[in-house]
Parts: sequence; structure tokens; C-alpha cells
Amino acid sequence: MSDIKSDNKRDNKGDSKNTGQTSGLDVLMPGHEYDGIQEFNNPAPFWWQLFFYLSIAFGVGYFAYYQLMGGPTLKEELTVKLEKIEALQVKSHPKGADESVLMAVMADPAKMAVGQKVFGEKCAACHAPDGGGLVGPNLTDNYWIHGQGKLLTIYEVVEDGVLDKGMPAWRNILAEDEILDVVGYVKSLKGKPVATAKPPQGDLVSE
Amino acid sequence: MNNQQSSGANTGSQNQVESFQYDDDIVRKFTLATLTWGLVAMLAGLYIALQLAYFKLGQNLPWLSFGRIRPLHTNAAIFAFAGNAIFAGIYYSTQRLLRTRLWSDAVSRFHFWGWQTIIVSAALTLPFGITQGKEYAELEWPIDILIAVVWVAFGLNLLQTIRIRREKHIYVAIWFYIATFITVAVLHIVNSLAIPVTFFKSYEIYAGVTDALVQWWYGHNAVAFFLTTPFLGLMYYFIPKAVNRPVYSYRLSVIHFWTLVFIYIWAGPHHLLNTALPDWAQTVGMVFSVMLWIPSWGGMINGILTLRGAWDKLRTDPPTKFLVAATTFYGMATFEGPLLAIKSVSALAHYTDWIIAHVHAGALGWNGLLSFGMIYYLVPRLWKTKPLNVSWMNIHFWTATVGILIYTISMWAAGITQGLMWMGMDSAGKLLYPDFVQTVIRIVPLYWVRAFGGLLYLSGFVLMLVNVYQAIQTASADYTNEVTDRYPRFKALTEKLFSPGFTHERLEAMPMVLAGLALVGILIGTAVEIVPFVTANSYSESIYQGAKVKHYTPLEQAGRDIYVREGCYLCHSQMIRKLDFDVVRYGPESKMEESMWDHPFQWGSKRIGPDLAREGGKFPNLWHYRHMNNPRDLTAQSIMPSYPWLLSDKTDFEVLSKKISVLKTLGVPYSDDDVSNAVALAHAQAKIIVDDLKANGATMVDEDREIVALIAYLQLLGKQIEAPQKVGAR
Ligand code: HEC
Ligand code: HEC
Repeated sequence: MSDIKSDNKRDNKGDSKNTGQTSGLDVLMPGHEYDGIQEFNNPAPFWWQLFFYLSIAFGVGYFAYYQLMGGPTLKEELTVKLEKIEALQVKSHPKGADESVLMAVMADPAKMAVGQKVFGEKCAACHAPDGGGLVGPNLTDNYWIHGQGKLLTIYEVVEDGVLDKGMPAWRNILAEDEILDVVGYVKSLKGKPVATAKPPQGDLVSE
Repeated sequence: MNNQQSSGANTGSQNQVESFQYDDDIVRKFTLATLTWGLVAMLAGLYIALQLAYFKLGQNLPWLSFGRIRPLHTNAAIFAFAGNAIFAGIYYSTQRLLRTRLWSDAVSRFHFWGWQTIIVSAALTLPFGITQGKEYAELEWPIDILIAVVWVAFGLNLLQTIRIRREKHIYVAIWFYIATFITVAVLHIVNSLAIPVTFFKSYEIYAGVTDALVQWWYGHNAVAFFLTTPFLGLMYYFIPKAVNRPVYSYRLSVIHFWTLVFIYIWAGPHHLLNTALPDWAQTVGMVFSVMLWIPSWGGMINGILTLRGAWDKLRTDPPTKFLVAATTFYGMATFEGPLLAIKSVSALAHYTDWIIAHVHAGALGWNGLLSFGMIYYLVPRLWKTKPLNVSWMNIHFWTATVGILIYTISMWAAGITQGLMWMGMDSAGKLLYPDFVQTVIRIVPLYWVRAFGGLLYLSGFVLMLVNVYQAIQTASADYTNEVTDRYPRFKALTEKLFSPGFTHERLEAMPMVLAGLALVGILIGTAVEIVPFVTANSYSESIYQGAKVKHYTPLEQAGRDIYVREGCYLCHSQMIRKLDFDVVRYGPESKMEESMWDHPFQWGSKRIGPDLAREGGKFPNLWHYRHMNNPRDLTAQSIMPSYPWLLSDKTDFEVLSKKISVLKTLGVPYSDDDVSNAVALAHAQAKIIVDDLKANGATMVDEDREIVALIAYLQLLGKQIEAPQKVGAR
């Protein structure tokens, strides 16, 4: 703790030799003394000045390039990137599926297990863990809103969602295999017993 | 304290030496207030930190929910803790630097009690959801008016003290104080303009992008002129006093003072990078932020190099330790700031905890440590006590420093981790972490670490409270006797000491001119950035390209007011940036037009939860109904608070006509019919939602429940533009 008395001591040892000097290091500003605080007038460090000028030069250059010389706008940069992503998506995830592939899924217990897992993680919040319906419709009954519950239409609904009604599109969230598996699993739910069945929605389908 | 010897040495014999007293009672008051509110601010901070780590904390209690306590924490830290510290330090140093007692004892007391009233009002309104919904400017209009009055009282006291000063030239600390007063006054008044609806509710006069720009011009410069310039002034006083060495460089003071004042004001748009704010404003904000780095470091250099020849003080004198560490954190934060203001860095860091790390390096490091050092310096002098316990001060120093490091490092890690997870995409163009909540769960452990860092910092502070308390017990009986000083008025600093022609030194003898120039300095950037938005009739085609944008129905507006009240904007953004990974996750980038009727804008600054700009239609009504009741029912590991009271509390329908008419005054194109029929319209829309909820199995929903209004609002988000655009990257 600096003791209080030291406040009053004018203790500038080592500076006194500079008194009267007008250049060089540690020259006191004549007359500058405020409540005992004096001021040197040392030059700003060279690197400090250098970076100051560099940052200004950068600022001017950056502004000029993007705002005056026709550099790309944020929107233009975004469009280019989105086009690339879209190309990737189309390439890796062709639209449409083959009914036979889906049939094969249903015959493969390993794939059906994956489907069940995906359903528990992604679908259960809206369709209830057993498929009995909650926010989304009951998937175990014989009533379907879309395309009579055929394998391929289930696939389409899961891929593209029903965005206006709150059924998300899973195309860009789940991998293609996961989608095939969960669709197979949904198809297999028909007739399964459920804890609480949501009242029917859509049309009665008699297969 | 007395300085006769030093003054005597410089005094021309022709000047009449006067004798006068300093008002240290006011400094003692502000010091005690700083310590009291510091505790409140830090406790609130620790509480919300723990809430993010453990969502059950304070669950189901509206006035303890995250969205309401976070503003309490930020306001307490900035305006109560730092604010009182500033006033203590300014009043102590100004009197001595000018060799003048404060102009008016009455105004000083009014300032003190007025400021405490503001703080108490904040503490009594924010937890109840009384807020304007703009960060660090949450307080409602009656409190805003009080702030303006008290702030002007402070400024008057400061400027009048300067006018009647004995020291002819004003020291650099005083320049900073002047700039503080002027700029904060301008910022606060311009940003707070609003039209009241009731005593506790008002609508900002600005909307959408204009509001966003004005808000962040304010927000950024509150950091600049409330948390930086006054503290630089304090640094310029307390460091040389503590180490008893001359300031390193006068000319550096001059350069960095003026560059800071001029450049800072432009940098606000760096809070809005990659958003719907027009590109030119973003670019201006970014380049000025980069240019701020070096002027800021000018202050740091001047503070730290003042220690040359007295480095041993760093070991021996605890206040010096705090002051110098604070200055070092200032240097760190002002390097990080410009870095974060670069568009591509912001793309990663914005909305993440990296920003939280950044502000706490500033708040805990720079503002906190500087205030502690200052108070340790002041207490023995103000109360004439025995020296404080040195080892306790040392322990405080280390707990504080280590606490800050744990805090910032954990939040850097959290921010960068989460930012990268948001960006991550695989070679099929799919997000690696499409579920937002995955990216939250990953960083929850770091929330615990952060809370521990905060706890450490807080415990050091508690030790300080004990230390100060014990010291004050030893105060000498006469500590209230006012300190007498003797000094001639306008001592003999004759003009011939100065180089001929115009020099900065002349300006230092003309404080009002200096003040005027500082005002001009801040108004230039303000004018260039803000005026084009405010004056162009914000709704004209030049800005909004004539889009047809739906405004809110009365029910949606009621829901929006609930959203603001609950502080949802503190966890959710409503701004999909012009960045590919944002668009793939949330849908097409947000357009300026979409928020053109938003009083206030709710773009947000943090994504603890996902962006909600295109939430409308994403989920069925029932989903929201259940999610608001308990988010865990829909998203297993969500850390979002539950809002069960929204299902039982009633929307205030009666006030809707008044609200709609105020918004109409502000330019939202409501018809007279909308105003007079607001209640009926709201009921009709509520009925549709309730019917849907019931059809899907919800029981016990009434039209007048708040949840219904909130759902109406959420379902409109992203659907404001009449011809909706294709959703999704594809
Ligand atoms: C956010 C809630 C939500 C989630 C999550 C969700 N769904 Fe749905 N789903 C709905 C809604 C709502 C509908 C009804 C759409 C309509 O009315 O057209 C629906 C409809 C369906 C249908 C068509 C039902 C019919 O009657 O035609 C299928 C099949 C389906 N969902 C499967 C899934 C699968 C598989 C998943 C998980 C990958 C899933 N859903 C996840 C809400 C959801
Ligand atoms: C403590 C931060 C926090 C607060 C405060 C908060 N939320 Fe959330 N919110 C989250 C998190 C985390 C998620 C993601 C997990 C989930 O779906 O629950 C989320 C998700 C959501 C979602 C689902 C978004 C989507 O598309 O998946 C909505 C809607 C939502 N919140 C609305 C609100 C509203 C309205 C409020 C204010 C009443 C609010 N939130 C307050 C953290 C928060």
C-alpha cells in the first residue's frame, strides 16, 4: 500500500537530469503539472505509428474496393456459395426413390432398427414415440392426409415436408439412407397398438 | 490531502493564493454505492450463468427467468457498478486536477441520489418484464427521462466546476470526462426516443433497420463513452498518482484522445455485420473498427509505460497491480474488438459466446480491476484509515485475474466450438449439426466452467468488501473534516511557455472550445451513418424498395410485446445473415423490409437458441403451445426456460387500441378501423388459433391467454412479405 505521505513528495528522481532539455527521451512538458502529475513528451513508438497508418490504409483500400470499385456485394457472394451448395445437394441426393428399394428396407431388420432409432430421435416429438400422433397425425391408423399412405408418398412427404402445416422437410437434414429406413419403419407402424391415438385425420384408406 | 509544497513551487508571486475545501463526502458516497451494486451485478451474473448451465434454476418463476434477469445483470454491471465507480473517480480527481471544489454540493447530492433512484427503479422494473427491448437501453421511458435529467445534472456540475477552476489548463483526464458527458448525453437521448402507451410501456420511434442502426450506434458507444473514455480518464489520474511518475507521453495523449473521440462513434455497425443492414454501412463500421485498434493502444501504452522507473511498484503496491492489469486487459480487449469487427471473423463469432468472452475481458478486466485499484487507493485517503490488508488485496488480485482468464478462455472455446458447428457442412451440402440443440449441449460443460470463473472473481470481490469494511472500522474520527488545499486562481502558466501559433495547449485553457470540438467530432460519424436512415422517410422506396410488407395484427402485436417482455431476444436472433450456412439452416436471408414495422427491432445479438426469423409455419400451433409450456417435451435436451405462465396469464386486450393508435402515429399503416376494432380483431384471430389447438388435442385454452397471442406472433415470423419466397437453400 503506498502510504499517503508519498503523495506529497515530488519524487521524480532520474528525471531531473533532463530538466531543460528540449529533445530526446523523457523530456518533461514545461508547466504541465496537475495535482503533482507531470507529463513527459515522449514520441509515440515507431511501430505504433506504423500500424496506425497501415490500418488507415487498409480501411481506405477496403472501402474503396467494396463500395466504390464494384467489389462483390454480400448478396452476390452469398448467391455464388449457395449455387455450389445446391449443386452438391442435387448430386448427392437425387430426387425420387424406387419402391423396390423401400421394400428391401422393410425386409431388413437391421435397417428397420435404424429407422426406429431415427423415428425416436426426429419424429417422436410430433408423432409420439409409438406413432400414435401428437402435433402431427397418427401414423398407425388407416387414415392418411397424403397419397393414401403408399410407400412412395410417405417417402415424398418425409423428403419435402408439408411446410405450411408444420411437417419439416428432412431432405437436407437426414442422410438418404436414414430417410429410406425411417420411411420403411413408418410404413410398418400400421395397426400397431398405441398409448393414445390422435383422432383420425385425412381419408380412410382400405388396402 | 494537501499539496501546498507543489503548488507553491509553481506559483507566481503575483497571484493570490486561495484556500478551499474538497468535497470528499460525495466521493465516499459513490464509492460505497460502487461496492454495493458491484455485489448485486456480480450475483445476478453468476445466477444467469448458472441458469445456462442448469436450466432448472429459477424454473417457472417469471421474475427470475433468464430473459428478465439478464438485462438486470447488464444494467447493474454497466450503470450501477461501473457508473458509480466513474462518478466516484471523476469527482475525486476533477476537484484535485482543477484545484476546485465541486461547483454545487446540492447538485452533487442530487446526482448521487438520482442515480441510485434510477438503479433501484431498474431493479424494480426489469424482473417484471418492463422493458423497451433494446440491449443496455431496456429501461422504460419514465426512467429514461430521469436518466437524462440526472446525467445533465452531472454534466452541469462537471462543466461548472471546470468553469470556476483554479488550474488554468485542463489535464488529459478532464478531456476524457468532458467527452464522456457530451457523448453519453447525445447517445442516450437519441436512442431512447419513444412514444408512451402507458406508464410502463412505450414504442421506440424508430423501426427495423433504422432502430437496429441507432441501437448499435448507442450500444457500441455506450461501451466507448461510458466504459472506456471515463475509465481512461481515471487511468490517467490514478496510475501516475499511484506510482508517482510522470505520464509517459503528452503528445500520445493528444493523438489518442482525438482519434478515439473521432473514430469510435463510427464503429457501431460492426454489431450488424452480414445482416440486412446495407453493405456500405457495414463496411464503414468495419473499417473504422479496424482503425480503432491503434488509438486504443495509445491509451494502453501511455498507462503502462508511465510505470517506467517504478516497475517495482507492481510487486509492492497492490493498487498499482490492479490498475496495470486493468490497462493490460484494456489492451487485450481493444485488440480483440477490431478483430471481431472483420466481416469474416464476425461470421464465425457473432451470436456466439466469443462475444461474451470479449465483453467480460472488458468489463471484469478493464472496468472491474481499474475500479478495484482505484477504490483500494481511495479508501485509506477518504476515510483516513489504517492501510488495508495487503495479503488480502493480493489474494483478491489473483482470484480476480484467474477468474477472468477461466471465464474468457472457456467462453472463447464455447464460442468457437459452437460457431464452427453452425458452419459445418458435409460434402453432400448438408449441415453436420442440423439440430440446433446439438450445438448447445456440446458447450454446456463450458457454461459450468464459466460459472466457476465468475464465482472466483466474485469471491475475490467479497474479500475486498470485507477488507474495505474492516479498514473503515479504523477510520479516524475526523475523517469527515474536509480536506483543505491552497492554490492561486489561474496560476502563472504564461503564454510564453507555449510554442507560438495554435497549439493543443491553448485548447487546454479553453475547455468549452475543447468540448465543442469533441461534440463536432462525434457528430460527424453520427451524421454520416445515422442521418440517411432517419431522415429518408424510412418507409419510402429508397430503402424498402416498395415491398408490400404486412404489419402486425393487434393480436400479433400483443404477442410481440410478450416476446419483448420475456426477453426472448436475449437468446434468439431474428436475423438470418447473408451467409450460406445461415441460409441453409434457417431459410432465405432476412430482408430489411421484413422488419420495417418492428418497434423495436428484435434482430438480437446472441443465439443461445436458434434464429426465429422464419419460424412462422415451421411448426404447428400445438407444437409451440407445448414447447412454451416445457421445451423438454419437444426437444429432449433443450436448455430453454419453461414459460408455463403464458398458458395461464391473460393478454391485456383492452390496451390494444391504445397500442395500435400509438403505432399508427409512428407510421405503421393501420386504419382507423384497426384502432377502434383492435380488441374485436384480436379476439377473432385468437379464436382461430384456439380452435386449431383444440382440434389437435389441447385442452383448456382460452382466447385471452398470452400463449395464443405469442403463437400468433411466432407464426407470422418470416411471412411478412406478401409474396413469400421459396424457402430453404433448395
Ligand atoms: C414439427 C413436428 C413434426 C415432426 C418433427 C415430424 N412431423 Fe411428420 N407431420 C407433422 C405434421 C403437422 C403433419 C401433417 C401435415 C399435413 O397436415 O399435411 C405430418 C405428416 C406426416 C406424414 C404424413 C401423414 C399423412 O397422414 O399423410 C408422415 C408420413 C410423416 N409426417 C412422417 C414423419 C417422419 C418420418 C418424421 C421424422 C423424420 C416426421 N414426420 C417428423 C409434423 C411433424
Ligand atoms: C435461455 C435462452 C432462451 C430463452 C430466454 C428463450 N429460448 Fe427459445 N430456445 C432456446 C433454445 C436453446 C432452443 C433450442 C432447443 C429447443 O427447441 O427448445 C430454443 C428454441 C425455441 C424455439 C424453436 C425454434 C426452432 O425452430 O426449432 C422457439 C419457437 C422458441 N425457442 C421461442 C422462444 C420464445 C418465444 C421465447 C421467449 C418467450 C424464448 N424462446 C426464450 C433458448 C431460449
